[in-house]
Amino acid sequence: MLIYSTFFQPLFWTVMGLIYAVLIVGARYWAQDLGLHMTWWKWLLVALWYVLLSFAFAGGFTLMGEREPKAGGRHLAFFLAIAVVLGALLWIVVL
Amino acid sequence: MKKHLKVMRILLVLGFIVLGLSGSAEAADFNFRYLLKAASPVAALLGIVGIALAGYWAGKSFDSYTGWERHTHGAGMFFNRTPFRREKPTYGVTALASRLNWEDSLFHRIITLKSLVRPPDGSPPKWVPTMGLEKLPEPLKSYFERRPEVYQLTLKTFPLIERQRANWKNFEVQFAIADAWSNALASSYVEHDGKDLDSERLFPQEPKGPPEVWDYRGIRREKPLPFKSPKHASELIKKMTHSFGATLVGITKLNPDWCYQGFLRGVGPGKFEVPKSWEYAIVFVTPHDWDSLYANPTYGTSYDAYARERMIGGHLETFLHELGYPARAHVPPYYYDIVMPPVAIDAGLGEQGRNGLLITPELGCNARLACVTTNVPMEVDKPIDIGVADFCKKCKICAERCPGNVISDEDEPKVVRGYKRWEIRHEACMHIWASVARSHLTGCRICLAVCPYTRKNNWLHSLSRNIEPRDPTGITSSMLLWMQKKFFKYPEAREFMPPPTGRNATYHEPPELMQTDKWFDVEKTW
Repeated sequence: MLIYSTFFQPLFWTVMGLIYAVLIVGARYWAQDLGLHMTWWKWLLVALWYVLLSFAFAGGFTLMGEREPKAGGRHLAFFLAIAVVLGALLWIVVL
Repeated sequence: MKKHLKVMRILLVLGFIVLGLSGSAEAADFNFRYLLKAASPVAALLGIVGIALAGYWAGKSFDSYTGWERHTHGAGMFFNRTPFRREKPTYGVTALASRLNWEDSLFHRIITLKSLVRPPDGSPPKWVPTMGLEKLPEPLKSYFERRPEVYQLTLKTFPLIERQRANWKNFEVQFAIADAWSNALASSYVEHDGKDLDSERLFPQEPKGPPEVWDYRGIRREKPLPFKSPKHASELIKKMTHSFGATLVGITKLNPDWCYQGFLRGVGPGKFEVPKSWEYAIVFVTPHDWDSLYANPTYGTSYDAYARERMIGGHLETFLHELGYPARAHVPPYYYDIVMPPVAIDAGLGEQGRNGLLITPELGCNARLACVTTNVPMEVDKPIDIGVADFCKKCKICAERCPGNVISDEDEPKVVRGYKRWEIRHEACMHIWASVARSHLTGCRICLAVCPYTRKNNWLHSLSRNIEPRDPTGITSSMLLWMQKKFFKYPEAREFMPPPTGRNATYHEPPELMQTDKWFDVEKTW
């Protein structure tokens, strides 16, 4: 299966690396243009929030992949709700 | 495959969006800064889509099927046990500890009764339940006289077995593949009708003679080939055992307390000292097929792992004989002279769970055990402490979901024969084996399937299995347990049973491979 081939996996993660590179550089420009006074710890909090968001999706879909659709959906809903609340707090209070 | 193509198409479309955005930026006023600004929200979205896809693929990947993955050479033994090694095993022991009698094992009692009721040579029954306790041969007679309640529970098994056989006609289409698959896997050591296979055809062969003769048979060297060191011996033997198909391997000095007394394979009943050549035990573990395990009690089997364990045991026994050392295989389903879980615990493979089974970091309870006893001087493994006992105190999922109320739901373990463990009502367990919708007595395995430790090897479960035992506060285990109980849907205990009590429920949907209506021209009535 192509997805699990020794060719696809490294290619996939290389593309993901490029996507993250674009995201990081672009985010810096967005912060400057929005007039946000970013410090290292604010960037760290933003990064952690994005990791949490990614965890919500990655964990949920992993469980769906291993034939646990209900658990996957609940995992996604639970961590997505936390991510949304924390994201709003991050935007309003910190940034 | 179609799903994956669809996903690839979505990715491609999103890629074009990025290119489009970059193109429009260029047309207006090329500026790399604007380009990256425009692309970054799409990248954020793609990052989430990509990680979700990666998660989905990780969940489905065959490489997550520990013990059945595409790689071998011991790659399934991926948990780093070093930080968790302890001088003593975590099962509690009191001064009153004693060796187990042969007849203390439910399997041994049932096999003996079976051979009396249906003698293997086809002769008339030597005993039937109507003949009563007085006519039973020793040591069963004395055993049951001391435990009349166990005798009554044992008697109850026989009509249940008959009822199960009669009921099978209601399910023989629905579970046809699962039953045929299970019987096929068992055919290396039992006949299709459940009779024991001709002992000459068994591999490994059952002992015929005392250990000082049988364990040395086939040795063709005058002297054993000397290893460079005990470390070399254990390394080579572990690698070789993995190459024979074992997922986990551990080595321990054999504690004589774990050897049955009152019976020795190859010799029969009597009083025996533990043979000198059984100085060490090489313990090896293989799992059941993961997808069918989660669809127990009706779609799974014990025999996939049993068949592999038997082969590994036979091969390892022969390998050691070839090097000039005595060896004896102790293999499933009941060809053991020793009690396996504590020996595996001593060998550092895992800890004892509430359900009485070995719980390993890699496989949870999905771990079937066998070992080879030998006197090759080897470096031994230390036991581990990954916090199973504390987790089991809080969890109790196996006890709650067991249809036979077999597993103790007490908070603390009791002292059983001098060892601390949760009590298991073995006869009640056998009653469930004889009640689920199977063609004959093939087990249940629900407590293996629902255990939170019984998880495949993907990043999500690896996070849990690595973080939880390193958290001394117990907060992680409590959080994980909360999620386990809130996120995962388990059938009620009675639902695992056939109608009218239940609905033949399974924890997971049965794998496609086992669904009769997918492959055969039959009417689906279930």
